[in-house]
Amino acid sequence: MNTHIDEAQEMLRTSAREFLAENCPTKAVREARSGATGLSCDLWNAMAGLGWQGLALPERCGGSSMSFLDLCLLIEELGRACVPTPFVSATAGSALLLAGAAREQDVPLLKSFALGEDLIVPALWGTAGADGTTLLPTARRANSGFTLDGAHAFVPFAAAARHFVCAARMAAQPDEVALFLLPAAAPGTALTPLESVSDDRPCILELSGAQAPDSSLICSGREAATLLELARQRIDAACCCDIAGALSWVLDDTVAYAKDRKQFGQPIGAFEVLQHYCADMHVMLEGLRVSAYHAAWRLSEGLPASRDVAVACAWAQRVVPQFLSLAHQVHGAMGVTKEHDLHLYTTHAMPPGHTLLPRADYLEAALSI
Amino acid sequence: MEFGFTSEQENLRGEVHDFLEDEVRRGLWQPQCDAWIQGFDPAFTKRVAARGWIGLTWPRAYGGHERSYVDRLIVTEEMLRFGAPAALHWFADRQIGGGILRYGNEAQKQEFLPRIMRGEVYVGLGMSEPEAGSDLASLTTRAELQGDCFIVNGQKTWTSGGSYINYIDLFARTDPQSPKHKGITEFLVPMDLPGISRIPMIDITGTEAWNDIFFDNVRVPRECVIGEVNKGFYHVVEELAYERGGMERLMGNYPLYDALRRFVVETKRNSRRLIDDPRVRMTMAELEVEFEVGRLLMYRAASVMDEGRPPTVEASVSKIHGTTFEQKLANLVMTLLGPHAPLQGWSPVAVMRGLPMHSYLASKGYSLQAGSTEVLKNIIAGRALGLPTQ
Repeated sequence: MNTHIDEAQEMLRTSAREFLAENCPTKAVREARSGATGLSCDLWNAMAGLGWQGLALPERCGGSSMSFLDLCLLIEELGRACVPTPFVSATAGSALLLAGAAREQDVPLLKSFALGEDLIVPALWGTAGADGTTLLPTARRANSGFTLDGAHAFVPFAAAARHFVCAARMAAQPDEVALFLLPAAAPGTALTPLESVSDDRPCILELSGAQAPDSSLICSGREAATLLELARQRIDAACCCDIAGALSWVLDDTVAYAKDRKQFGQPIGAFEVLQHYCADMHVMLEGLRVSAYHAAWRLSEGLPASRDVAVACAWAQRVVPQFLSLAHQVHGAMGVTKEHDLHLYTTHAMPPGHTLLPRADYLEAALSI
Repeated sequence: MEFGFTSEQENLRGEVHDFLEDEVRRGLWQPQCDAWIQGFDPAFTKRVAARGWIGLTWPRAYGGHERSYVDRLIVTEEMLRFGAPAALHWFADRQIGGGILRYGNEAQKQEFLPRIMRGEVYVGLGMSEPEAGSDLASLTTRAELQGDCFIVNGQKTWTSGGSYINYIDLFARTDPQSPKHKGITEFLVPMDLPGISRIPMIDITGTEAWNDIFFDNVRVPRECVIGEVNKGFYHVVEELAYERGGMERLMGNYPLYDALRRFVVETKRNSRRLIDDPRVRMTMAELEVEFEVGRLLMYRAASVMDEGRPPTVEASVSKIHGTTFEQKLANLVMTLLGPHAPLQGWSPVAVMRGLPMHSYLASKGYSLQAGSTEVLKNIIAGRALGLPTQ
C-alpha cells in the first residue's frame, strides 16, 4: 500500500501538463466549444501524435500497453486543462472494451483510433423508459445479421464519431445483452443534439431498423454483460479523475485570485473565512483524488471495483457542487461571467453528465449493508 | 501507486483481528468508543506488547520490527475496529517513540524504546496550557537551568490519561527572551519527581478524560531534554502530524458505527426495517461513502510517513475529513433514536449500550483535540495553498 506517484507517472503528468498548457490554453477550449462538433481536431491529432489515445491499448492494437491507472493520471491532466474531447469515454470506455473483446478484425480499427483517425464513441446507457427503468435498444435477428431499434441518450461527442460501440438487448432473450460495433453513418441511425450546457455535446442516438451485419456483433451474453459493466466502471473512474483534474485547476485559480484581488486594502486571501473556504475545497479534492485513484487502481489490477467506483462517484457528486459554490463565492461576481475562465470548468465538471449516473444509484452500490 | 496489501500485511491484520476477537470472547473487556484514548488497561497493554505490536516501525537495534507505517496503521485500525483499551501505550507508540528516535540521544533511545515496547512506559502529552491552546507557541511553563537540573514551574492541561501516565512529554520555555517559538525545549519527565501534582478533569460524558498537571519547582535532570535546548517547537510541528494522521481520527467511535449498522438491520419501525426506509438507507450509504474516502485518506497519510516525511498537510486533511464523519455519525444516531438517544448504558431500556450518548457528547471534542479544525484549515491554507499566514 502506497499512494506514491512513481517517476514514470510523474513524467507522464508533467509532460502532459506542459503540452496542454501550450496547446490547449483556455482560448482553444472556448474555440472548440463553439465549433461544430465541440472538439478540436488539431488537438485530437496532436494528442494522438503523443500516443495518448493508444496509451492503454495493447501493442498489437497500436498502443503502448500502459496501465489503466496511467491512463487515468493522464486524464486528470486533461481535466485540468478542461479539454473538450471524447477522450475519457472513448479511451477508457469504447476502445478498451473493443480491445478486451480481442477480435482480430477490430485490430485495424483500434490502430486507426490510436492514430487519432477513427473515433469510437460508447453508446452504453440506453434511455429511461416510461416507468424510469433503463431501456437498451433491441436487436432482432434478420436475414443476415441484426436489426436494431431503440435509442441511447447522452452519447458524448456523437457528431464527431466514426463508430459507436452500442449496447443492446437480444429480442429473443431480453435478459441477454449484446454489444455491436456500428459505423456512425449506418442506415437507420440518427442523431438528435441534446442541447446541454455541459461540454460533451451529448446526442440521442436513435436506431430505427438499423442494419447490423453479423460481423458487427462484438459479443453477447455473459461476455457482453461483463465487458459492458467493466466499460461503465472504467468510464466512471476515469471521469472522476477528469473531474479531480478540473477541480485542481479551479482551486489553484481560486487561490491565485484570492492572492491577487484586493479589498479593504489587502488581498482577500488574507481573510481567514476565505482561507477556510479554500482549505475546505482542498479537503474535498483530496478525498476525491484518492478515491478516484483507488478505483482506477483496482480496475488497473483487474480486481472487482464496482463498490470502489461507486464510492468515488458518490463522493464526486457530493463535493463537486459544494466545491464549485465555494470557488464562485471567492471569485465574486467575476466568476459568473463568460469573461472569466471559471465557467468553463463549472460546466465541464457537471455531473450527472454523459457518464455519471444519478447519485442514488452510486449510493446503493456503495452501501454494504 | 499500489493500494493493495501484501500477504504479510493481510496476515498481520488477521493476527490482530483474531487476537482482539478472542479477547472480547473471553470477556476481558468490552468494545468502547474512544478506548484508544480512554481505555486504560495495563494487562491489555502488556499482552499487546508481548505480541510485538508496539513500536512496530522502530529499528531492530532497539527491539523494533522496522515495519512500515502502513503496517502500524493496520494494527491500529483493528484496535479501533474492536474499540480496544489501548490508551496506555497509544501516545508513546504513535509519536513519543518516533520523537525520541528523531531527536533523542543514544542513551534515551536505549532506555525508552525497549521499555515502551514492553508496555511499561505510559507517556502523556504536556503541550497545552490554560492560556496556550491553539496558540501553543505562547506557552509559559518555565524551565530554568540551574546546575544539572532545569527548575520547572507552570501548568499543563488536557493531558489524556493523566492519572495513569508515568512520563510526560513536556514542552517548556527555556529562553523567554527569544521569539516565542524559538525558546521552547522538549523534555521527557518522569511523573514521580517531587513537585508534580495532578488534578483530574471530568469531560462532558462524565468520564475522567484528562488531568491538569502542575509543576512546582520540579528539578528535572538535564538528561531529560529531548534534542537541543530551545529547538522543541520544531519537534511539535512534526509530532503533531503523527498525532493527527492516524485512524483514530476516523474510527474513534467505530463501535457505535458497527452497532448502528446492525441496529438499522435488526430494528423495525412501523413494521419496516429501518434500512428499508429509503431515507435511512441513503443516509447510511452517505456515511459509508464518507467513511471509505476517509479510510483512504488515512492510508495516504501513512504512506507519506513511509516516504520519510511528516504528513503535515495530509494529516490536516485526513483529520478534518475523519472527525467530520465521526460527528455526522453521532448526530445521525441521535436523530434516529429519538427519546432513547440520551440513555446511559445501564438504563433499563438502553440502546446500543449507551454508545450513542457517549459519542454524541464526546465527539464535540474530536474537532478540537490535537489541533482544532480551524487551526488545521490555517495549516492547509498556509502550507498547501500558500495563502498569507494569519
